[in-house]
Amino acid sequence: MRQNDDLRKEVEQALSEVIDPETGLSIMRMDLIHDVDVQSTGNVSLIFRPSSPVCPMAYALANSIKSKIGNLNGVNSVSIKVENFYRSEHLEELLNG
Amino acid sequence: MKELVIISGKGGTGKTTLAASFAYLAENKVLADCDVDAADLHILVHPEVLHEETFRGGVKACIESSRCVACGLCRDACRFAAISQDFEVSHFLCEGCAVCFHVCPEDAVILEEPVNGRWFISETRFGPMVHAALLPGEENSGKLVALVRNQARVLATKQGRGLILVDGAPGVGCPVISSVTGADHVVIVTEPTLSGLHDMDRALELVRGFRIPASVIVNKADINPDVADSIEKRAGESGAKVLGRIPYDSAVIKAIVQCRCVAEESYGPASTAIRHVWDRLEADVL
Repeated sequence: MRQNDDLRKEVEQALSEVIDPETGLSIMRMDLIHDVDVQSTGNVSLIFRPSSPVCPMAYALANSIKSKIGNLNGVNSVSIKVENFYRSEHLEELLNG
Repeated sequence: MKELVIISGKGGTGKTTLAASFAYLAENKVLADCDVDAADLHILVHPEVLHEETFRGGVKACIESSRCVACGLCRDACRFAAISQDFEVSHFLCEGCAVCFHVCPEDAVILEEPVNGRWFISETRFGPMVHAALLPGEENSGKLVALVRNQARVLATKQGRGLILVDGAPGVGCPVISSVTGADHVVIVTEPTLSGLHDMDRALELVRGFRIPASVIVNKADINPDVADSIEKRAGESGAKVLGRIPYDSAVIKAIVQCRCVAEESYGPASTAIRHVWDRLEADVL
């Protein structure tokens, strides 16, 4: 099994490749991702805070985050908590349900 | 952390002049100049640029002459008359809709991402500032505003600053919407003219749509007290607090000519009123 730190670096690299189409910046530079936790079992969890409570790209970005991380070798599950978004419960249900 | 956005509805009411004075009076803040179509807060706060990047806000079509067979399908499909008889695309007329790209049977149209502007992180006389400037004739300022606001927030979080002071754009269009969405409070600076009253109404309607609390400042209030009364009445009817009136004062012009803000220059009528307004804003909103 790979070291936990290696997988964590890959997760962070994958997240930095998710680009917000409005600003052209990565979601990591925009500080939209918090509390990334990578377990040795391959379970990844994080908090996604869209740049605005009414961010029109929140669904698309969350989907990109989920698939980018989910496609990494060694990742078994991805759990995303959504904060600061007016439909966070609905989005979480779609992502994690 | 609170985000306070200053807008005006009508242009030329003194929004940036007040924003600069608030920047002088406020503590522990990050400034954001979101009037990216005509940025000018930097003139009063004297930034030293620490970081600079280009901004690319959309695509423009370009026709490769070596592949083009001059069939005319792209020109017929273009709704912006951006393609000339010689099959050259006008950079300023092209809206980047990509219809030409899709209808071209020869794959002669390519979509490029030109630089539309630049954005900056600077240190100013009054603290850090994120600001930007679109290049002449460029569009998509709403996207650049979103970027400036986001990077101001990132900077404020990193430096532990409790306030983001945003100088928004005039009007009620895309850059203004992008300036106010998700903000904690909006201050509308207006003037006692009929267009000032009318455009304040539109700005109030806009922020109501986003359910953002708003307050109003009447600048140059004594040039028409009757309309100033109407503005205050209308603001009250719309649920917006009136923070105060600022009188016309030639000291404001003298300060601007010296690239300074009036709050740091004098204790004349305008400066005193601005300080009172800021005190109220701090007490009631921040």
